[in-house]
Amino acid sequence: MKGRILGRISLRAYSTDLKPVVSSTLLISRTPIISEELTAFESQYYKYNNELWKRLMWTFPKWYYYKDGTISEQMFKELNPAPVFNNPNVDFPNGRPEIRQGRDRRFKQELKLPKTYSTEVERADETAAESSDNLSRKIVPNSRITKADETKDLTSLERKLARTLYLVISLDGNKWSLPNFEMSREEKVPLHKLAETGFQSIGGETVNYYNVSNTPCHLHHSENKKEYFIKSHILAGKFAPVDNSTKFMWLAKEELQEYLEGAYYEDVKHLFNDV
Amino acid sequence: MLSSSIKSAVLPVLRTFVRFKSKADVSPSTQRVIGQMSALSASKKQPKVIRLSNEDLIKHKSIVNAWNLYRRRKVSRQRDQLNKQYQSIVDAMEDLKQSEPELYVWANTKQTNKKFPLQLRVPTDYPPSQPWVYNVKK
Amino acid sequence: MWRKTASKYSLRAIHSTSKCLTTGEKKVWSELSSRSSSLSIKNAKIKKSLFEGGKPETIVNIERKAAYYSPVDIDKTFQLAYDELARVSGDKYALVDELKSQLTSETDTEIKAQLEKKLNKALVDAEIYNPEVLYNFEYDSELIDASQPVYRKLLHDKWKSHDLMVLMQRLEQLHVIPDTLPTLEPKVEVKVKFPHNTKSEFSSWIVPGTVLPAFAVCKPPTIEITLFDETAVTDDSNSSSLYTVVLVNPDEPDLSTNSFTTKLHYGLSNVPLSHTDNQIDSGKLLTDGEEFTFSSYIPILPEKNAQIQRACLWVFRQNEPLTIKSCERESFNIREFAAIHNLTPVGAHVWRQTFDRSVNAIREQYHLPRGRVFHRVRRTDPYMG
Repeated sequence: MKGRILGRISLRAYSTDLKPVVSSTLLISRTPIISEELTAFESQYYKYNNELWKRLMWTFPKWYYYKDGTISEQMFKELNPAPVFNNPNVDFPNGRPEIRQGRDRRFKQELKLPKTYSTEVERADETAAESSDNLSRKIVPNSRITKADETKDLTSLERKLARTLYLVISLDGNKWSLPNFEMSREEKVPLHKLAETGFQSIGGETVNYYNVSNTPCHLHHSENKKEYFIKSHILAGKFAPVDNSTKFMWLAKEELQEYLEGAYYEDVKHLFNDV
Repeated sequence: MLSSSIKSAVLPVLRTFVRFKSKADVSPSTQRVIGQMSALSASKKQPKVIRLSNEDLIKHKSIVNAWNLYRRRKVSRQRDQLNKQYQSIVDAMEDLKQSEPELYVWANTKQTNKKFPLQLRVPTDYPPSQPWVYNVKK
Repeated sequence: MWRKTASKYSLRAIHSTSKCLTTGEKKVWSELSSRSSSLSIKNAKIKKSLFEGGKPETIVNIERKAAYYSPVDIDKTFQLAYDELARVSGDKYALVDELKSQLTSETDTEIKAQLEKKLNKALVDAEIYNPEVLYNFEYDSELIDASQPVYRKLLHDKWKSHDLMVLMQRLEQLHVIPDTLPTLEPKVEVKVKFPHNTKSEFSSWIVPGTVLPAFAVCKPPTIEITLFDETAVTDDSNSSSLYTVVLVNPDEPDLSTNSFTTKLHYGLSNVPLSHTDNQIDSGKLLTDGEEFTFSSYIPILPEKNAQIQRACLWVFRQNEPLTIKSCERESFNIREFAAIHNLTPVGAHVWRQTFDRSVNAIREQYHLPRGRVFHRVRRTDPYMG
């Protein structure tokens, strides 16, 4: 069956009086790995609301978590000195403090907790092998920008972690398109099977993927050809083309606009995710 | 004589418990319960009510207005896109029904034993140390 | 952020005004050549504290001002929110321009009316989120300009949220509906006050249903009729902007039938009203009073031991100019009156009166005969009715 499915644009020209050629286009995407990038307004709004929320928060019940006279209480006290107390003999030009339970009720309560790691170790070497096993080490999140972003490697699956990427291939290194596989006229197979086997034949052997449905999600009419779109997600692995002349890229929606043909992109752009 | 004995029996019950005072009198277990209850109670722990000036009220209202407009635009854009995608599916299936009935039946059969892949990640704020898994077990 | 010394403050002021000029050019709401000045804050200091932050200018007390703290980051967030709102408003103003150009080329009256409706909505949408408009509406009632669609919309919403509900409750509970007219579909806000009073209790706007003493109502009231629907906006030449105002008392005792009749106490007709000129006050009555009045004002003066009496003020929209010479006060049939003159009730108001010490003096003032005194008469057999 695999032999009959053509992994590339067929060289054999079909006579035009026949029915249009049915083909299956694989819309394989890499879903976002990290959360969406926020706009300036979004992040500012969240920050503002967060501040309001902190301002309206109850006072931290210190006595419950730090028992009187213990060393941890002493450490906490050192880190969080008591606010200026409301001395009736002193004039406060910017408003009298309102101290309740060791907190100025007019503002949010800012707490500093004792560090679980020592600063010397932090400075010495963070990349030491043993430090990754140390549960009390300082938590430093990984960067949202990866090496692939810096080197602008369009073939990497580690680029643009916050976006959905789609696979585009090129047979001649010039014209880019979504991977498309034609159905043979003799033997018919389901559209999603056609896309799957076709994808494996051009280099998808090393890919773990998930076909969303056997139902096509779009139909694109072109000259004597019908392209049915099958949606799929890449879960793991790497697309490695069988033929060395086949080029491929993982692109986000705006980049697809540059590489795909204008009219074609306009027809299919609603299938691509904005995020 | 009798009254004093009653007094000594009743007084510990009637005593009002105050945090940090009369520490020596209560047992450690009672003290612990008092501490737990005071951690849960709102007494003195609530912040001052926010009273905004006229300008700040207008500012706050405008911020909320802008946010609502922003969200509305975003959600309606997403809804439009989803509607278009749904229409695409309907169009494709209608066409398939007319031109390729056999493929239509295959495309329309329910995939019963299909399972959602557990490897699909939920987006997090920061990437894992290895953002992508390259080795695939066959 | 907040400088106390005068020299520093003035330096900052100069710097900030120059900044304001440069950033203001691209924004829709700071452009005032084609927009009414009522759409911006008049007080420059308050405007500055709204857009640039710092301690609020609306707090006058110096100590309270110093002790005031704005929420963290409110100014920065407000700036971004303002840009977002202004951008949306810019789109709406583009729509306004398009609709205006369509209106000038359109000739069909029906399509024109539709376009005007759309234009009005677009004008509201373009300004409804403007922080300066919101500020003026909330805190600077002098700047509320009813000729602007956005202020009319805000006034309408405010009226619907409270005053309209109070009015309808009083009209129904006091049975003004259906004792005078079968029902009311309120389209205008009717406010009544008696400005000749010196006590604020009686000189301010009357809440519907209040019981007023006779001295408080001894002179004709000032009536404010706020129009909300856009179709009513016309100039004086158009008859659809003419209104009729009638004050009736449905509780006048009628001994002959052992019942009550309706008495007419005040009648005005052909009163032209518009969005901005919406008051019937003593000044207007002095100049055009004779033209409008078909039945001069006589206060409701309940007689002793008569029941509490309702003063029902009805506002009608006229379909054409009327010629009412005079009207019989006694046994006034308001339903017939409305039907004969083809009047549409659009608003109402009600207050109540009862006998008090000032009634007799006011009767003399209006050259009325001394009022009757009613007594309770015990029926012969209470069970027979």
